[in-house]
Amino acid sequence: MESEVVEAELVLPTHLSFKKVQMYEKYPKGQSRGRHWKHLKQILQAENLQNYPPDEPNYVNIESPPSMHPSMKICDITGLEAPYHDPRTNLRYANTEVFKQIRALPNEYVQRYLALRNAAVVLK
Amino acid sequence: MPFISQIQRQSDYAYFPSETPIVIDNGASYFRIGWAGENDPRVIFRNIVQRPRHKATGETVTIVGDHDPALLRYFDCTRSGPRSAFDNNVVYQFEIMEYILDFGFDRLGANGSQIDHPVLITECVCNPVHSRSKMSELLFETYGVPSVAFGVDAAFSYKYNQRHGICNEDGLAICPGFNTTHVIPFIAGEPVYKGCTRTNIGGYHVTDYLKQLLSLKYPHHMARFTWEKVEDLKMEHCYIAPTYASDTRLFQEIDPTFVPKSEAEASQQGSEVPKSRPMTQEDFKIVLGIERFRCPEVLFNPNLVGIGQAGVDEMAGVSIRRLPEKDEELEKRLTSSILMTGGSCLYPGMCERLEAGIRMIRPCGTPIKVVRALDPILDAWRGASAYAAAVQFPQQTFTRMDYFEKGEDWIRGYKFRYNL
Repeated sequence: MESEVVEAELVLPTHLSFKKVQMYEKYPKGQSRGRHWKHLKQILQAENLQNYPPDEPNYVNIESPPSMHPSMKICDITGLEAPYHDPRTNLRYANTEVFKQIRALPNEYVQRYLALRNAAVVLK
Repeated sequence: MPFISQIQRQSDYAYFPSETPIVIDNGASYFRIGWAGENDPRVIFRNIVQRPRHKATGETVTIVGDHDPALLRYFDCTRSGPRSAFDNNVVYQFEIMEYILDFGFDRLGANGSQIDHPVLITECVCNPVHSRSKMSELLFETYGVPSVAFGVDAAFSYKYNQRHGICNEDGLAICPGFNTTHVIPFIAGEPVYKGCTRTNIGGYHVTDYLKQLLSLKYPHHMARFTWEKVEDLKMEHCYIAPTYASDTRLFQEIDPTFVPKSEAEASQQGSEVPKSRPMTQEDFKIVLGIERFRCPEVLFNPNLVGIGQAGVDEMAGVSIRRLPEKDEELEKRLTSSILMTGGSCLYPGMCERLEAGIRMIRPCGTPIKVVRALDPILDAWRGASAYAAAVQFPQQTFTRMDYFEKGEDWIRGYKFRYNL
């Protein structure tokens, strides 16, 4: 290990005195480590929330409802207020200059702008 | 940069008797650890782990927190990005959590054969049982901690500010965090989780939005816009407009022929991006015009990034509606003491905007007062530390015996009382 790396103590030491079980004992080398952790969706499914009364607060039912206000439409490129909508690319635009720019954009950029507001077409 | 990591190894671990609790604020952005009763956490670092390969020896090492990028040139970081133990705001990757706790305890100066102090650790609101029990298992089994308590960080922050007179016994805590934003009503000093709401939008989404917008606007600079640099830009330049429409009008007046992507745009703020090849001075300026307030607007309108949930101001209304009893006097008391805490509430202009937003949804004439916490970032740790130093704290903890004898159902019902 290079001296400056050792001096800066960049790397976590492998043996720590205050641990009862060290990392190398718990996760031996060569075994796949990452795959056995449940993601949030699986954790929530495993909780069996339907067995408990629905008005008790739990992780799922404290989530906020969809917004009641009408959604704010802003131009995807400039950020100004956008009353108009391009049917071909599905982007919102504010005025004619921006519209010229939109029609000149390659498809990759169009999809990325749409992906910003989660409106891109995802082919699975 | 306002967030600074403190990772100096502490040398006074041995001077603390074994009743002194260790207080950990386990946040999705930063991990803070220190002793109960003190005013500031001893060790602060970013809650991420990287496992690169050392180029010379070939072994895979673990690096916790963010470090000087110059030192990382000895490591092959191509296959290992920074990984977090969190999914939304719930800890799910306990191997990474273990690395982080290792590092935290090590820098606190721990020695001896186990951690002999009770631990108070923060968790998210209504933490799933699986996450809570795995965390207790980790602390009891691997570190030998004698007793553990879990609390919500926003609640600790609220109690701390209540003690300092910033907010009253009944009030609302609005906590925009890193991945999520919570609104929690407090009645008689205790959080009422029935009225709590959570939206899955936070500082991470704001930074990500800004990063995508800048990469689309300046495609040849795309490789330079690392997440950390964009976060710095966000903290320096972003603000929240009193109303979005008014500030866009400001930009339209200044330059009626608004053309993005060209450097000839009227600049409100310019900032230098480091050079990598010889080009003219103009090429290296990036102009942050409307993005300054477009990005934090996401907190109030998550529809801008496609998340179909209520924004922060609307959440306050939802939260009050969800309370079990309908009491006008109580609602007035709640709205007259609204506390903003959490890292993402530091934008200039947030207080006024939030007040205007809440005034729109509450009946005319209700008293509304929005205040920012004394220190939105550190207050959660400070509140937890003050709590752990109290004499009645040991009654709120549970020991290893409790955990093994009583099992998962008891862990599910474990409730923390904030009034001592």
